[in-house]
Amino acid sequence: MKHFLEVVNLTKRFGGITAVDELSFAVAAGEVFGFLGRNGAGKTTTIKVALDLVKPTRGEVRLFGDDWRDPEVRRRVGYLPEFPVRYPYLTPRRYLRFAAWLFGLPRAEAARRADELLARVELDDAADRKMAGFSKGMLQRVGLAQALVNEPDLLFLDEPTAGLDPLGHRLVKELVRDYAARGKAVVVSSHILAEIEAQCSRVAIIDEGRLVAEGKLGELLRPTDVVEVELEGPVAAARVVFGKISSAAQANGNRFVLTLFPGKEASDVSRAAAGAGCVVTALTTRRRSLEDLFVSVVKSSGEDAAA
Amino acid sequence: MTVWLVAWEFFKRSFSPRMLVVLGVVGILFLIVAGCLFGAQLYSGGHVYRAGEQAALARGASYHIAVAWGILFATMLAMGAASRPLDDGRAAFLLSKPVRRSHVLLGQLLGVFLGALAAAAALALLASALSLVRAHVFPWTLWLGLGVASLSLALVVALVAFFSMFLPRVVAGMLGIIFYVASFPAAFSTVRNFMTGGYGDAGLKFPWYVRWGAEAYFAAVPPIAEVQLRAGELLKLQRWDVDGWLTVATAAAYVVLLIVATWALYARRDV
Repeated sequence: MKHFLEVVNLTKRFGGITAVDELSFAVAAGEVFGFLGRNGAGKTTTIKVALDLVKPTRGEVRLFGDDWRDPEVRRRVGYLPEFPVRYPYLTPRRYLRFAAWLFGLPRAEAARRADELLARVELDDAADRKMAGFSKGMLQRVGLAQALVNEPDLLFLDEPTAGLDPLGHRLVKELVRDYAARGKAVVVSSHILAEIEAQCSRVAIIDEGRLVAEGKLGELLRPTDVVEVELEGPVAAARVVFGKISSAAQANGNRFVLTLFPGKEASDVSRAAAGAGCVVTALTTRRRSLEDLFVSVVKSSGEDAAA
Repeated sequence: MTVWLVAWEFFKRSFSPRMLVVLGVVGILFLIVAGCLFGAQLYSGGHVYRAGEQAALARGASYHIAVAWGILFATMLAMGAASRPLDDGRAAFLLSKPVRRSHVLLGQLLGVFLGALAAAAALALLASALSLVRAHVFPWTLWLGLGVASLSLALVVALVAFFSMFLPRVVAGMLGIIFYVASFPAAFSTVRNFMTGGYGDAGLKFPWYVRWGAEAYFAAVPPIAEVQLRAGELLKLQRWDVDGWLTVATAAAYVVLLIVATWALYARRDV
């Protein structure tokens, strides 16, 4: 499989703080890769290292198999930063042409590309207004357009829907789908888990700079991850043992809804209940959401770190 | 190519609406001052200067005002030239494209330098117009002097940009000016006059670059040339002596050294 992005044993420290810790993952052509984590988990730092904006303490990144520090490799990369546009004195049209010139596009081609992208992000009407008075959503659209100016093969989107209205959300979704369909790779960093779940084929979850889960969504979100169980017996004792195998043990009388930790099965629930002196009277399983998975692995990671 | 693209954007940003207002106010003040210099009987009584000499003095004064303004403008622009884009996301935008870090830094400094030079040139243009109207002479020597002084502006930009990499912007600006002045005491007539009899007689040993500023101007544009120019003998300039070239070479080396030092800090900074 041809990898567009490979992160190998990446570590980044800011003074005494470890932002990224021995992180490794890869993104292949045609993949939409979701990059998840809490605020400060190290997502943006990782993306910035890949773009050589931040220097790693240790480890390396390969873009299309080449050294990430070579500026030429960025000819095939697009980047939407978290705070996209800092040129308030420019118009979107001028800004996009400037971005295109930086890729070495001839003037006529840059002008054509800018017009095309302005139409794509639905900013034709504001194309010749200075961006100083733009809303967050409008700036986000301009930022999105500049990330696409070179028709990148690898696209980094850092919080792409921040500030966007529902139409903007749909625009991002269509764009990501379109890019993946054309065999390009997209790395999406977002807090909006439902969006990631809807768009991404594979996800990585990082916490405190460490990779805590990675895989295809179909594998990570198994149909048996959430267990609803009804018991007879000492419920308080059951709650304690369930807390060791799941992230959530919501008691409603004698009924529990458990989101199992990775590696745990429904049979573990029965065994735990029996161990607590309870009898299982009903047990059903269902697929958990990405949010459930996220909460589960992050909580599990936190407990491991504490231990 | 990318250096020029970046420089052009920074040059344009130099002339934000606020900066244009400042430039306009300074321009009006300059017109008033320079108008007086060109038009008034400055040396009345027993020391009446000929019109050509008075125009030459006015042009010299215009030069000093234009360069002083250019230095002030350069300081204001350079305070955030290198470090600010690193913090506000502009450098991230540029560096996420296939652009070398060194090109971004050079483009930023070049854009700021050209902005400062344009601000000084704007005043020189006003002085030229006045000279044409009042003395019927185009002040070539003023422009020649400005060309020579461009290295002085480059030095201010390099100094302030260097300090701004590790100090707050305002402090960097102040320190840049202090270092500039400390480096070039001879650029200021009050300091020169204080050193009675000049550097040698005063027994003061300055590096060559201290002769930059006014000395460089007069080396390139001796007052006698102004009179000759007035008489239609175009630019019979004195050749620069060894000290003149050494002054320029030292100042240029100083600029290069500062840019290299700024680069050493810039290259390591996370964006």
